[in-house]
Amino acid sequence: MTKMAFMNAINQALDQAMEKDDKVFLMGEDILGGAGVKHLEEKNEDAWGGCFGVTKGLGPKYGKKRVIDTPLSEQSYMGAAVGAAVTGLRPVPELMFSDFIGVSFDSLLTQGSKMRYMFGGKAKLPLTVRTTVGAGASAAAQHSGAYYGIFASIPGIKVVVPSSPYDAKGLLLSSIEEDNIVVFCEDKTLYGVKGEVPEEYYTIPLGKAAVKREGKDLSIVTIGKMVSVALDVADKLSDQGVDVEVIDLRTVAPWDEETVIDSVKKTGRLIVIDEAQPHNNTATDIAATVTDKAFDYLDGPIKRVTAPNTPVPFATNLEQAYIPSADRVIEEAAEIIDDLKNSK
Amino acid sequence: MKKLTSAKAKEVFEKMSDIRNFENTLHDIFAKGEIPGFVHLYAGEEAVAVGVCSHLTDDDYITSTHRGHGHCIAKGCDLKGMMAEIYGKETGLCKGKGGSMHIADLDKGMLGANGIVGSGFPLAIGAGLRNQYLETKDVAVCFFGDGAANEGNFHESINMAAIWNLPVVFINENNTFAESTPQHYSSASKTIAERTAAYNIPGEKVDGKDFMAVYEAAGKAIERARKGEGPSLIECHTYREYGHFEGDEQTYKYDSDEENAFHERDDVKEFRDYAIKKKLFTEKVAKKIEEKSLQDVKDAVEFAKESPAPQPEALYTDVFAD
Amino acid sequence: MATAITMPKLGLTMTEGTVEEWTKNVGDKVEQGEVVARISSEKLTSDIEAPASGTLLKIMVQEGENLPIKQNMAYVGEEGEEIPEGAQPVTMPSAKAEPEEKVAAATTQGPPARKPGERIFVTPLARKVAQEKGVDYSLVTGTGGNGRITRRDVERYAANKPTEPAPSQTQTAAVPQWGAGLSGMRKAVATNMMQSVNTTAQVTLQRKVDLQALMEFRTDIKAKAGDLNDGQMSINTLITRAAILALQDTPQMNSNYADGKLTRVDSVNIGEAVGLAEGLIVPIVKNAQNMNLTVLGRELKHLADLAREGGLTPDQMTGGTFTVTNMGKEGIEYFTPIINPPEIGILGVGTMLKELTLNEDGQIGTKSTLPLSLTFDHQIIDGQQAAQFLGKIVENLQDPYKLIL
Repeated sequence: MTKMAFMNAINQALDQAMEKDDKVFLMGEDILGGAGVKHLEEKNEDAWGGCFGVTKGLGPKYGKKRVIDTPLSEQSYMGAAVGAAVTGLRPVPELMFSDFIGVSFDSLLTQGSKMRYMFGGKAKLPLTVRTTVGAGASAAAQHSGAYYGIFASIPGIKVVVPSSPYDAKGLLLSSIEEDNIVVFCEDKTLYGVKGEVPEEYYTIPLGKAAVKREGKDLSIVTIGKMVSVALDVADKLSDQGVDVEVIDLRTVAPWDEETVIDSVKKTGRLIVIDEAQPHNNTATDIAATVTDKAFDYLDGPIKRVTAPNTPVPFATNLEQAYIPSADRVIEEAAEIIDDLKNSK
Repeated sequence: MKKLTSAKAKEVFEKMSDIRNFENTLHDIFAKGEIPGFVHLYAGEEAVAVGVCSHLTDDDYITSTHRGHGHCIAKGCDLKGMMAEIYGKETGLCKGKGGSMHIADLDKGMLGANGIVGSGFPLAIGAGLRNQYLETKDVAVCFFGDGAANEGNFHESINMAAIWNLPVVFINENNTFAESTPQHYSSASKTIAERTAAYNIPGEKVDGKDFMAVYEAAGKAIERARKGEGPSLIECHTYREYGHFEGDEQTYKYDSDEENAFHERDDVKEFRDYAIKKKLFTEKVAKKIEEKSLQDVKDAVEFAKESPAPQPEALYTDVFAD
Repeated sequence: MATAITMPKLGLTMTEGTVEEWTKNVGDKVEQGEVVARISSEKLTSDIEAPASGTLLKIMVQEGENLPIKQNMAYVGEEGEEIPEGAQPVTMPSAKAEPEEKVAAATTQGPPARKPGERIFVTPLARKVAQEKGVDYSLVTGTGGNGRITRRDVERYAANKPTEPAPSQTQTAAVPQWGAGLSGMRKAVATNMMQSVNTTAQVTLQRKVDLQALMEFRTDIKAKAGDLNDGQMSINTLITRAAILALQDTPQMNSNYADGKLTRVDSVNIGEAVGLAEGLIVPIVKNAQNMNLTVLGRELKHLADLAREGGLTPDQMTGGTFTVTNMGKEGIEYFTPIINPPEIGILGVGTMLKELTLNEDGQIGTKSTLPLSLTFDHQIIDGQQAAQFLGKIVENLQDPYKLIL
C-alpha cells in the first residue's frame, strides 16, 4: 500500500489498463498537451497531461497513438470514441468537464448507449468516458456541474462516482474492463485527497455499494465527495447518541438497491445526500425506489439533501452554501433525526 | 483502379435492382398499413450506394443515414433479415429492436442506419481510427446527406480525419432536399465538395445519377484511403424518387426545369442501358436479374410476414453486454 | 381577548369527554356561569358554564364528537373579536420542540391529546410494529417530526404497558380498541368491563343465606323504632352493612389493584350498582365503615337518586373498594358479577327465595333464603380466603344484631 493522491490513483489505473490491453487508448483535449510542438516532441514530453494533470506522463510513455490529443471537437471525438469502441477498440476518452456534455451528448445519448439494443445485441461498447464533476473549485456555473444523474438516466450507460483514491483506481480498472459504456465521474476537488492505494492491478465491482460505516438508527446514502460529508454527519450525530450507517453508492447507474434497501430495513430512516440538483436525479430516484420497495420499513420520510435548484455560483460564500454540508444535512433532516437524539 | 468487369457489372445491376424493388415494394406495403413507424426510401439514389460499396469488402466499415436501406443492400445485408427488421420481427437483422432507421449488420461492416442526421460522421472517424490503430488496410465510408453537411459534426469530423490522416471517405448524397428544404437554400456554399478546401482534403462533385461517375470517383478515393493517403469527399448529386418519408406530399418539388430534368432520370435504367451497350451483360441477362430481384424481394416480404414477433422478454435484453 | 371554553377534567380517570349538546349557538350572548353545553364523560353528564360573559364566538367541537380534556372546545369573547392564533382544539407538537421533552412525554402512558377525527400520523414501520405487537397506535404519542408516531414510540409504549396482552404468534391482527364505536356511558361501561375481564382472574363463589333471623330482626326493629324512612332496614342496606363489616374483618379484600400496583385501602368505600337505561353506574359511599344503618341507608338512597337524575359528581363515582350489585328484582338467583376495576371483589345479591323446611317434629314449614355470588380476583385473593370472606357476610346476616354494632 502506498499513500497516493486521488489523481495519481487514476493515472496509475490508466497506466495499468494500457499496459494490460493494447487496445486501450486515451483521447481528449490536452490530455497530452502541446501535441505537435516540436521542442516537446523532441524531448518526448507532455505539456499538461490533461488540464488537471491526471494523465501526465502517459503520453510520453505510450506515444501519440495511444494518448491522442483531440481538437476542441467534443461532439465528434466522443462520436469517434463510440465508433472505435463498436469496431473493437477500447477507448477511454476524457471529457474535461461534465458540463461539456451539452456539446458532445449525441454520441452517448442517441448512438453509443442504444447501439447494442438497436442492433439486437450484436454490438459491444467497451468505452469509458472519464469526466470531472463537482463544485468547490470556484469554477462557476459552466465548469462545476455534478451531472452524473443525466448520464445515469440513460439506459445503456453505467455511471461511476468514486469517493476515495482506492475506489478511484479499482473502479476505473473495472470500468475499462467493461464491454459497456461507463461514464466515470471524478470530483475535481478530490484530486488532491490522499489515501492508501495498492500498487498492483485490482478491480472493484461496479453496481456494488460500500458500507463505509455501520449503524442502526439512520442510513445515509451518498456518492463521491459527499461521502466525507456523510461521515462527518455520522460523527456529529454519534455524539448525540444517534448511530448512523453511511453507504457510498460508488456506482450511480446501476445503483445497489439491495444494499440500500437492506440498510433501510435495518434503520427505518434514510437521508440521501447528493451534490446534484434536487429534481429528477439520483437522490429522487433512490427516494422513490426505497419508498416503492421498502415502504413498510420506513420510520419517517426520506430526506434528500441536495444542491439548490440553481446553477453553481461563483462567489466563495455562495458556492460553499451551494454544496451540502454536514450542518445543513443535520438541519434539513431534523425531522427524522431529532427524535433519535439521546433516545434509547 | 480496376475496370468494371462483366461479372462486377451483373453484381452491380443485381444490387441496384434489389434496392429499387425493395423500396418500391415498401412504398406499396407502407401505403397498405402493413409496417409500423417511419420509412425513408432510397429509390432514385441506387447509383451512389452501389457505386461506392462495389469497392468495399466486409472488413470495410460504412456509416449510414436515416435513408439507409440502399446502403445496407449495397453492403451485402440479407434482404429477408432487412425486411423482417422493418416489419419488427424476431428474425430481423436486429431482432426487431431497431427497425428501418437502425438496421445494422456489424458482420458486414454496416455500422447502422442512423436516425440522427450527422451522427454518422464521428462513428466513421472512430472506425477509421480503429483501422489506423490496428494498421489494417480497411477503410471507413461515411454516407451523409446534404442536410447533414450543415451539422457541426461535418466540420469537426472532417477536420479530425484530415489532421490524423484517417482512412475515411465521405460520400455526400446530395439528393437536392434536406427533408423539405432545398440545398440551395440551406447551404452557403454552392457545393458541398468545395468546403473540403477549408480542411485541405480532396473534394469532388459528380453526377450521382451516373453509376460510372460515382464508381470511378469512389474507386479513386477509396484506393487513396487504403494507401494511407488520407480522407477525401465526393458529392454525388442525385434525386430522391419518393418523399422524405412515406406519406410526404412533396409539394416542395419540381421548382425548376433543371430539377424536373433531374427528376426524369432513372439511374437504374441508365446503368442497364450502359451495361448492355458496353456488352457487360445482355438484355436477356438483365431481364433474368430483374425477375430474380422481384422474386427475392417478394420472398423477403413473405418471410417477414410469416416470422414471429419478438418474445416479450426481448424488451429487457441487449441493454448491456454481460 | 377571547376566552377559551375547555373540556374539563371531571375526576382522576377522565381523559376525554363527549359534547352531548350545545345549549347556546355561535353568536348567542352568554353570561359568565351560564350553561352553554352539556358534556358526558365516563359515567356522568355535566354542564359546561361560560367562563366569561360575552358572545359565543366559535364552536370547534360538534355535538357527538369527543375531545381530550383541557382542549379548547369553544371561545367566548366580544363580538367580532379574533380567535387567538393557533386556537385549534389540539396544538400539533412542533417539529422543533425539544427532543428531551418529547421523549419524556412519550414515556408517560396517557393517551395522546388529539382532536376528534384528527388524522394520526404514523410511519409505515411504526404501523407495522404496532400490528405485530398488538398495540393500538391511536393510544401512542408520536415524537417524530409532525408529531408522527415512530417505531420507537410504539416500542416504548409497548414496553411500559405490562398489562397489554402478550403478542400472539399466530394472531397478527390489531386488537380492537375497547369501547370502539361507542360513546359516553356505554363506552365507559364497555371499556371498564373489557379491562376487567382482560386484566383480572375472576372466580365466583356462591352461597345461600338463611334469612330467618334477619327477617325477625327487621320486624323487631321496625316495631321498636316506628317509621323508618331512610331505607335503613331495606334488605339492600342490611346486606351492604354486612359486607362492610366483613371487609373490615378481611382487609386484604378491601384493596385496589391496577397498573401492576396493589393498594390496600383503609376506608371502606362501597359501591352500589345502579342500572340505568343508558348503562350501569356505580355511585360510591365513601368511608362507609363509619356509618350506622341509618346513615348508610340514607346515603345509598341519596346516591341512587342522584345517579338516576344524572347528577353524580365524578368523585362520587370513583375510589371504590368493593361493590354490591343486586339482581333480586329481576328474579335472578345466582350470577357471576364482573369486578369493577381497580376493585378486587364484587358481591352479587340474588332474589329472595322461599324454601320448605322440616322441623324436628316432622312438621313442614317455610323459610326465606338469599342466594349470594361473590366474584373475586384470584390474582390477589385465594379461594379459601374469599370463601371465608363470603362466610363472614353470611354470618353477619344470619346474626343480624352484629349489623347494629
